[in-house]
Amino acid sequence: MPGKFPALDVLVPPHIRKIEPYIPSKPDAVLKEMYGCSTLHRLNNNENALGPTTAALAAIKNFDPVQAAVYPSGDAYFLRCRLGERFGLSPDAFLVGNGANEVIAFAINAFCQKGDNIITADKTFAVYEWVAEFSGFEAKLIPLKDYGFDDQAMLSAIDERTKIVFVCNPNNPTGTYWNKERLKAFLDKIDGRTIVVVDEAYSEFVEAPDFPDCMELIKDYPNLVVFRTFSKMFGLAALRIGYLAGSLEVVDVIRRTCVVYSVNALAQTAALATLIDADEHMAKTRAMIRESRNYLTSELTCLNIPFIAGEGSYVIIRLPMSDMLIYRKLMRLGYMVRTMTGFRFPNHIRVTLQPLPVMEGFIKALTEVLKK
Amino acid sequence: MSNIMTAEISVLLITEMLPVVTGFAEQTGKAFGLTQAQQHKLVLAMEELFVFLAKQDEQQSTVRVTCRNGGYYVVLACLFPLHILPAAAFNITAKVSLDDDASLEEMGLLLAARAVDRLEVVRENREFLELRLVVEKEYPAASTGLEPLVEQDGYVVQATSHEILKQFAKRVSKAYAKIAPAFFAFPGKVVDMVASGEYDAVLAVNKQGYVGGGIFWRQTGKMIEFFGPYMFIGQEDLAQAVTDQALIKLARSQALCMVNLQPTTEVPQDYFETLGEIAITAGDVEKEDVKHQVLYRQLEEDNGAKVFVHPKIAGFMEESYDRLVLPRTLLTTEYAGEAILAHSAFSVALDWPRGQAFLSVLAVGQDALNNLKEHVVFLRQEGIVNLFFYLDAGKAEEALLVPALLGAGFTPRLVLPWGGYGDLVLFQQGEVF
Repeated sequence: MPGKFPALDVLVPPHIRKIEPYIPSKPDAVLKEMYGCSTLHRLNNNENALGPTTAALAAIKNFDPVQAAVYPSGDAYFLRCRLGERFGLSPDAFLVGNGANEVIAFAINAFCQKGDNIITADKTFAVYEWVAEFSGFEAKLIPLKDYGFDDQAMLSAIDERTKIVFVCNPNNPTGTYWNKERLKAFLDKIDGRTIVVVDEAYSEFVEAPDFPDCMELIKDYPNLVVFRTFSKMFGLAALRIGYLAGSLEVVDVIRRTCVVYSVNALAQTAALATLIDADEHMAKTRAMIRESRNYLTSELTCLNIPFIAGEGSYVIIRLPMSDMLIYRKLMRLGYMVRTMTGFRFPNHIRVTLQPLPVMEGFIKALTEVLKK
Repeated sequence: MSNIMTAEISVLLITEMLPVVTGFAEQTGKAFGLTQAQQHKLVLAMEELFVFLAKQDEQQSTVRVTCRNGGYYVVLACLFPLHILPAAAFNITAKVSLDDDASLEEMGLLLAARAVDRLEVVRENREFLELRLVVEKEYPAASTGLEPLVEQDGYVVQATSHEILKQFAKRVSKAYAKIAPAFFAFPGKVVDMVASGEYDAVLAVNKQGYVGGGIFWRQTGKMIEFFGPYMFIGQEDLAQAVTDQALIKLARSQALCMVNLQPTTEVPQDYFETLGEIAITAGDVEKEDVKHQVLYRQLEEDNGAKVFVHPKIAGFMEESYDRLVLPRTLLTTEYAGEAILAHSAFSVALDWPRGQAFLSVLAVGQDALNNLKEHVVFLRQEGIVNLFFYLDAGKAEEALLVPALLGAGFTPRLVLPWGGYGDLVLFQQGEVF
């Protein structure tokens, strides 16, 4: 006899009922068939077109398949040791997660309880807001000012229930950033009242000399927590590995909510190898991004199409039509972009910077769909 | 204290429990602000519904009766096992013959439906059905006094407040009398609609507190139906600003798409796609017949879907999807002699002031053609001049209805992507001007 249908109206908490599940895009092969395109250029997820570093590629290739039967290091021991050496911090100052999204959840769950809130911007990476809300905490969203995080408004929004302030530096999707002086001034004003998370998912792309080195600032600001990822600059998005760094005391608290064994062995191996030739890879990628950004912004200027191009591996473009419609039109031509309505930038798309031939094709496709 | 409140009882579905549920209906209706006459409507509807259900049920099931104060309405809902109810009982045209006992039994549901403002049927899950009796509260019509708007500048988009909303409703009612929904004539109702959480608005207001324009919407499932933007001063960029702010507010909501069935001329065209055109017959000498575009916008990227299409409208569907650049896999479906219910059932959402009815299917049955024809005759007799049918292309069984719809004089007008379980096809009945 079939079991009774669960009483979902009783079982599901109110804050979960109002959340819409995130539906990721379908696999490329399915999308290509649906949109009738023979090739698909992924300009939607800010993946690095140059792929993983040479050392990481070799490590992945040489990974012993027999090791698939063995549990990985539960807390990414060797990787944390190597990160400690690279940044001059204790291995215990790091927590490695299954992508940076997981460490966001660790931090929020470690510090927030019922009635608490977090503060971030309205037009930034959505996961801080989502994790807070589906965990039952308020996310106070401060409007961007001149496309950047508004430090004064964020400080004013802090109350006695604010536990974490999230700053995306550089901001995804606008590419604006706080320089070292501004970030330090902000941390000084916070004065340890809350945890300050600086999400540096795109920091490795930044070439501006005044961009802060947050790993160095951890020594002076024990309430500072830094998020980094191997998904963007280092091309390991498919393996899902990211990490956070902070003072030993703060990281010790976050470790209590950490899911151990969540990072697989192949990801740990590839990330460890990445650190061997990371600097060389960063230089090559930065050169590609620079060239691509210059080309794209120059073409958009000629076409009289407004754009926002800051730091990071992306540019956002303002279009004279719905971003959802242009997404579908570009998909038919084999270019997948990120619509920006969900980032609260209606009629904008975000385009990942890729090598020149791809960007030339994208401009041709964009021109074609705007003509119709 | 929130004005949204709920009360609930569980009772055995036997006629001896009738005084309990009618007493519950009366007392909750009173507590939630209904007038005596409205309480009476609710009691009458509950009585008919409960007696009707009790007669259908041979197992003495337990039903859960809830009454919820929705702010501008009160809804009395009865949750019961699915097996109790024959689908055909829902048809608004259900005939009652004094010689036919079964037919007389069905009259109870008909009476219940007509006693209240709306009867909604919701399938809660695989085992339960919920019948909802909705009575809307009464509100005074807008008074005439309104300050003229002289200043053209200084308007900023802001959150709503009660007084601002009331002023907005009055201005909409005055400036857009011919096309705006009737509820704008009742400012207090508009305030309660927003307070209910089912509706929302973004308004442009100046320092003096004058409303220069705004946009209003309601969420139904994954779809937002928006009204406006209504602008009372000649500033094009303000219409765009309120639209932008509405989109920002909805960007991370549960909604997948937005539709405007009767857009104003001020709507920023580049924010929306045109789904097609519908013709609205006024049916009122003071109003005009109008043809207008239906505007649409998705709020999330479209990653494709399968749709079930009857061959008779395959050409229309293919053309629509190609024009809208929507990735859809069309699966052709038609009736092949398989066993289906003897009786079809349709639900009807009526908008009396605008003479509009929107039909949709509750059960696909063999008598669909005749049943639809009866609905058309009945609704036209009742003065409904605009008849629409929403067919859900995400449900295979609904495609089987297409021959009946065409036979009853319905024509497909447009596809509303993600408007229901899947895409909705909007049919309109009869010749249009």
